[in-house]
Order: sequence, then structure tokens, then C-alpha cells
Amino acid sequence: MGEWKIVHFFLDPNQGDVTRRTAYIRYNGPLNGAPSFTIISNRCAHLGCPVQPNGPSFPDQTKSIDTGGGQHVTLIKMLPAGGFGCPCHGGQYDQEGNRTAGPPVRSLDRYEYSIRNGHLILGKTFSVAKVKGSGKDAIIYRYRLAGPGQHITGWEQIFYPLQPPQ
Amino acid sequence: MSAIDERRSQFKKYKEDVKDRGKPFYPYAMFHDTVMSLVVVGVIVGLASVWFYTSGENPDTCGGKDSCLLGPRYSEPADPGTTNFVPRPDWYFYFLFYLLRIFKWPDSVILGTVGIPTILLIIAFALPFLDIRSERRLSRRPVAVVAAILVVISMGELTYKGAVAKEALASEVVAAVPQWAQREGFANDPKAVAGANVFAEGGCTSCHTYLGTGGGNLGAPDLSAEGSKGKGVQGLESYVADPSKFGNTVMPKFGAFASIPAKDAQGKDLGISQLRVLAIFLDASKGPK
Amino acid sequence: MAVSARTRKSARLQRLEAAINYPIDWLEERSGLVGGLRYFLFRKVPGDSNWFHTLGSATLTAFLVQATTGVILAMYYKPEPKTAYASIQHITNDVTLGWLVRGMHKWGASVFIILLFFHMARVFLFGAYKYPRELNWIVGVLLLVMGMAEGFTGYLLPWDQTSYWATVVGINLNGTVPFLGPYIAQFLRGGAEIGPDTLARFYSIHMLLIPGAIFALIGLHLYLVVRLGVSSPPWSKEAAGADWVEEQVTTNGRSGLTQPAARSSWRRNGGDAE
Repeated sequence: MGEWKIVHFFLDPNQGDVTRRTAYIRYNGPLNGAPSFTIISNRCAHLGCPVQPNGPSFPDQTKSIDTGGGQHVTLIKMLPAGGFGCPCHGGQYDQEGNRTAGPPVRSLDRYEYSIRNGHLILGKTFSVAKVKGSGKDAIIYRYRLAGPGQHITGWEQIFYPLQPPQ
Repeated sequence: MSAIDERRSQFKKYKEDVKDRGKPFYPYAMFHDTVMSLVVVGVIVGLASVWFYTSGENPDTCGGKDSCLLGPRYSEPADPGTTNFVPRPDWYFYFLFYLLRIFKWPDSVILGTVGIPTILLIIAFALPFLDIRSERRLSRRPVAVVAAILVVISMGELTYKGAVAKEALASEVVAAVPQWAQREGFANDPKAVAGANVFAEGGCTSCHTYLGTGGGNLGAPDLSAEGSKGKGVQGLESYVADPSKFGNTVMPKFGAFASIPAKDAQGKDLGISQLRVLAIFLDASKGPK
Repeated sequence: MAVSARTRKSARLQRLEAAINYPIDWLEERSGLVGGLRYFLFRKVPGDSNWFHTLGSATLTAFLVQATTGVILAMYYKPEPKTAYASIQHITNDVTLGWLVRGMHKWGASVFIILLFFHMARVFLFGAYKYPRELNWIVGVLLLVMGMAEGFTGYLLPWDQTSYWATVVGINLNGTVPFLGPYIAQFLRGGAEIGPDTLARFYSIHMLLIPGAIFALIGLHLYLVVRLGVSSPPWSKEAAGADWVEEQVTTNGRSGLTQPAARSSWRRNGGDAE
């Protein structure tokens, strides 16, 4: 409960390292009979640099799992006590991925997820304007995935009316 | 006579002057060009040689076995899933790189990414139409000279700042902790040393600097002598836990550190929280001895 | 007389001369290129042109170094995420003089950009972008933009951490352009995510699209330089076409160079209202 992991995985194992991605995942306890997770993308909402946890990670508590199909997942225990920070231009986020300081234009992107046969399956990424509350009770203001630096709320959103088809 | 006629007659005179008093391109100007071109090729070969012979096959050996005067041959292979890398552009984009750090509010991001570069580019393209006088002597073009000096200074300043801009990676900062303890004189205090590790791992150096390490982002102060400000361990602890209570809305709240037990270098439980050791570390930071 | 001078030469020399001249004349008759080259080489430049005027050809030299080394690198480089990094290592560490070719390309890029800026500064300080050379200034700025674009696209090719993440930021930067940004970013990536297509795309842009455009623009740039001539240094007492020269000369009591039509122009134009 409330435990964070740094999770490395491959979007498309066949294409190899170029699709390696990182997410920060927290188990929030059960919600409506199913386990609930917070899955935050490490892509900074400013210009896409890799966001880092503000807190210790424990590489000695690492789990590596092969889930078949070439997929290889690595989980590292960590504790982002001070939220997340981006080393490039100084963006700061809290534990829910809300921007607290610096240039990011919105909260950190998140992953959709589903649970199948006891496995956590990550789905598409989506953009988040902000998160109210925390953990499993959080209200997530969810938007279609937008590129880093692109506003999805506020008056600046008129600059980015359309996203190309994925 | 209209301005354009005047310029035309001036250019006609230029053509006549060159015809009458000019020198042929070959061999005079071509000699200069050839010498200069050889210098250019020589400089490029020189740079390539210094770069190659001061670096090794492994990027890790830079700063150790190899001096890497002009940088390593290549950095580590690309890893899109990295959590500990800070990218940097080539030097001629440093000005843009630093511009992005200057515009540190969400509303102004677009000014740094698109606005200012676009304005600069439009001015560059439009220059011949902004400055339409035929006068070429610098002493009589004060606006142009001042503008040129300002552009050179600001671009130079931005490039310089981009070049020396510090960024901090937890893994690299942790390595600096023993040296901090030495210079600040708290090496014998295991709690302060544990606090320094929390400071290094906790992302504090994304913004703060400490004895020359750290990011210096968002206007965060240097903390090398924070302990000499008389806030006390208690005061520092409550400040770090929730800076917004003290009117600081930029700094994140680090109160969650209060629930993590602190351990010393040997892994022995110190019996107090990481927040507490962090405050002890800051209080012990009285500036380098 | 030419004929009598020629008859004095031996028959062998005459035949040799004819053998050399024949292909030149052949080419000239069909293309006019020889006359063009002669015009280019023996055209007059202002008598006071100096070392500052070599910055343009120095930039051209740097570009030619880039083109040459680039062609050689392309023979060994493999633009695939799985192979790019290894092929760069192979070029640097194994291929004969590969380190020199790659080093020259890597550092030549910086030298090229620096020289572009120096050349631009020279043109600005000499006021050489003024009538009738406005168009050439614009072509020059376009070349600067192209040069920077070469730097951006080439930076990705080694496929190391620095290049990958700098490109991520660079693409996202383009993504913040109002309205078109998301589409520009999509185009640069060749998809929703950076992948093999991105690298192939950057490679193609870096070694086909932009260099082609740069060659064409340099051709135009040089054509305009030859057509319009280069500006004398503004401080020169013998500056070609400058009316202040005449001023100088009359006050010094020297004669020559007077052009009444342009005589008073600097007085009217020469205020501080820039």
C-alpha cells in the first residue's frame, strides 16, 4: 500500500531498446473490488526530459520479470517523498504528478491500465490537467494525449486545437 | 533626386571605381582566400586530432585516464527509459537551452521555445529593409552599432550561461557527499552525513546548489551556509516539511520524509526520520571551512 | 603580329598547344564555362578588399569539408537504432582514419557555424547588406538557418544519450509552435514515438534535403556576390563607390574620383536617424 516502484518496460519488445520506457507506479489499495494504481509517465510536461523522483530509490530491492513475448520488466523500489523533479529546466511535481513549480504547462501524463490474470497491463498514455485529492480517491482531469509544452487547459489551449491522428 | 536614384548612382560609381582602381580577384583576393581556407582545414584537423587523442573508447574514462579536452567520443548508448540523464544540445544551441531555463512559468514557455527565436529570425531577415540608409561607416550608424553590441553581449551571455549551467543527477551528487562533509566539517556527525545523503538523493539539487554542485533552477538559494542563518534544526525541519507555511510556494513540500527512518552509512537505524537528519545536515552547513 | 610570333615556335610546341586548347575550346564553344571561369577569376574586386573578405570563402571551405567527410561517413554509417551507435564506434575506432573523418565532421560543424556568424558579423559591420545586396543578405540568413538545421538533425545520428535526449527536447520544442506544432513534431518523429523512422528521417534530411538546399543557396549566394561585387571596408579611404571618399579627397586637396551626383548624399542621409 502506497509503495512506489520505478518500472522499466518496452512499448514494443520486438523493436528493442528504442521503445524502452519508464513509469512510476504506486499501488493505492483496492478500489471497488479491484486493485488501484497510480501510473505516472516520466516524460516531463515541459519539453519531455526524463523526470526523476525526489527521494531515494533502492536498487538493491529490484525485481526483474519476463512476462513473455520478449517483454522484460524491471521494478525498483523508490520513495519520491518530495514528488518528482525534472533536471533539465527545473520543473517540479508532487506525488500525484501535479506541477508545483517551474515551467511545466500541466501535470505529468499517466497510463491507462487494466488487470488481467493478476497482471497489471499498461494501456495508452493520456494527458492530465490536474489531479485533485490523492491515491485511489483522486479525481483526475483527463485529456487526450498532447505533446510536452502544449497547454490543454487555460486560454493557451487555443494554440493547440488539433492533435494529429496517432 | 529620389533616394533610390541616389543609391543607384552610388552603385554605378562603385562599379566604375572597382573597374578603374580594383585589383583582379586572381591572384590577389584568391591568395587570401586560399590561405584562409587552409587555416580553416588545419583548425578542423587540429580539433579532430585533439578530440580523438585525449579521449578513449569508453566514455566512462573521461576525467580519469583520459583528459577528454574536447569531450568524449560518444556518450552512453541512447536509453529512452533512463531516469538519470540530463540532455544538452550542441554549443550553438546553448542560448536556446538557457532561454528555456529563464522562462520558468508555464504561461511563458512558448516565448522561449518559439517566440524569441522567431522574433530574432524575422529581424535577421528584415534587416536590409529596416536599415535602408546607404550610410556604411560605423561612426555614423550608432543604432546599428549599439544593436550589434547588445546582440553579441546577450547571445554571448546566454551561450556562456548555457555552457556553465549546472544540472544535478542524484547519482552524481551522492558521490560528492564525502567531500561536502570534509569541507563543511561535519564528517564526524553520522546524522548530518545521513542528512547530506537525503539532500543528494531527494532531488534538492535539482534547484539548490551546494558547494558548487546542483542546478540553480527557479531562483533557489545556495545552501552551503544555510546553518549559519540561525534557523535551528527545528525551524529548518518545519520549513522543509511545508515551505508554503513560510510564504514559499515554489519549493515542494518534503514533509513525507518525516515518515522514512534515517539510516547511517552502515545501514544502522539512527532512530530519527529522514526529515530530521536533513534539517541536522542543513544546520551543520555553516559554509566551507 | 600573332602569326609571325607563332611561326617562330617549333611545330611540336604548336601541336602540344593545339592538343591542350582543343578540349578547352570544345567546352567553351558548347557551354561558355571557360569564359565564365575566366570572368570569375579575373573580375575586379575593390583594391582595398582584405582579410575580412575571406570569411565567406572560409565558410564555404568548412561546408565543403562537411560535404566530403559526410559522404565518407555515409559509407559506413547504419541509420538504424540497433546499429547506429555500433557503426559510429566502428568508424571511430576501427576504420582506417575513420576517427579523423568523423572528428573533422563533428568539429567542422562547429567551425562552420562559427564562421557563418563571423561572416554575418563582417557583412553587418561593413553595411554590406544595403542596396543592392539585400537579397544576398536574405540568402545568407537562410543559409544560417539551414546550417543550424544541419546541426540539429546531425546531432541525433550517433544515437547516444546526449543526442537522443537533445533531440527529444528539440522535437518537443517544435511541438509548441502554435497550431502546427503537434503536426511538425509528428512529422519530425515520423510517428507518435521516436523510433527507427525518426532516425531514418533525420538521416535523410541531414544528408539529402538540407545539403541539397545549401548547395543551391550557396550557388545563388556566389552568383550574387560576383554580380554585385563585394563592399569596400567602410573605413577605407579608397572605398569604392563611397561618397565620403570624395569628401576626404577634397579636404586633403587630392584630385580624381569626384562624382558630383553623389556628392551631397551623405549630408542628407548621414544623420543619426537610423
